[in-house]
Amino acid sequence: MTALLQGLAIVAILVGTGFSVVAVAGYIRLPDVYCRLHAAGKVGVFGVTLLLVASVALGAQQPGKAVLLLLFLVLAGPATSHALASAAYRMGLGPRAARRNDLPPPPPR
Amino acid sequence: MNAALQFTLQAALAIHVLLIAVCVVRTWRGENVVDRLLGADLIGALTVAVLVLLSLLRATPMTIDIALSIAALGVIGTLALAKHLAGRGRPEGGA
Amino acid sequence: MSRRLRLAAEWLALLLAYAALTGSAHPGNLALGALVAAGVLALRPPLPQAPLRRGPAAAALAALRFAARLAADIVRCGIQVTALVVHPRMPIRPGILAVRSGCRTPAGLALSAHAITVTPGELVVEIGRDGTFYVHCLDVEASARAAEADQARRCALLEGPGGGGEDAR
Repeated sequence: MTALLQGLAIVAILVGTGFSVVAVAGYIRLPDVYCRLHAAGKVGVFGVTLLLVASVALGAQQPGKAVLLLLFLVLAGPATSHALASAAYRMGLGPRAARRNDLPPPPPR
Repeated sequence: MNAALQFTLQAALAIHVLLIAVCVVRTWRGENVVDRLLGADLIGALTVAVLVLLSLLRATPMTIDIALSIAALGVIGTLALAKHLAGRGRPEGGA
Repeated sequence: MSRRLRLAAEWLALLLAYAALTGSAHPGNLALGALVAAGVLALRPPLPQAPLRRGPAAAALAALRFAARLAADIVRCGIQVTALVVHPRMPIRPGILAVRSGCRTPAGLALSAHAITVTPGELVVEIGRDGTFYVHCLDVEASARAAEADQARRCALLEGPGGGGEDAR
């Protein structure tokens, strides 16, 4: 049982680290701010979630607390993504790489 | 602790620290304010991951609590700065 | 649900969250948690009315189906976006789509915007005055095919089937 849980923890840590690497690679490679937001948001949701799974499997943390923290991350992550996208839009930073843009330009202030 | 697990934790820790260094350089040379703010947010998320890994490696459960308070404060800080930027209007110069 | 009953349910949920976070059921700790929960309820701004206008059983079933579908979407799109980013040529087709939300309540609007943004590869940039979502997608052509139908399904689960002309509240 312990060996099984440790195996689960190892897999979760490896996959979580993989997602972090992909997120940073996306932040460097993708062409504009809006695209980068998609990649960066994944560290919070996948990377930290999988590390929390590993810590619960190793008995370093109570499951109830981990579930609450997971809920917080899933609820708050999109809010920051949207706030950053909205800030970029209102500052007039257009989606340079876009193939199609249905969004009207921001109101002048 | 199992040797394989210990090795995985150390490797993951090294990779995350490396990623933070890459992110710091990329944020430094960011092309505009929102891009840099996004980089700072990413660095915060990676710091949380590093602290969770450290707590597993050193068997100090308290570090996880510190990590999670950093995560909560990071979200609030990014939200507040993004709202501030959204309210300020267009950037001056070639941002 | 009456106002008092709703407040009591919110207080109990906050107390449970406090107990789970501190991880101890000591009477003194629970008493402190009860005080903290009451303080939070006194300080927080009023929440919008829950969008579910059905019996409790039907509402719980719809919420469960919404959450299950969302979890499946997050995993599926997470893998797709990962494949796009690590692909050597990075075959992304980014763009911003206008999607009619069709939501009748503020809570339904907020929950479906959250569901779109939490799915990797789609991100709500702006919500128009008429409730139109402006969604930035990493693959705009694939998203354009499914976006309207997905949003209609989300709305049906969140706010109940059919449009009865109910307005917010």
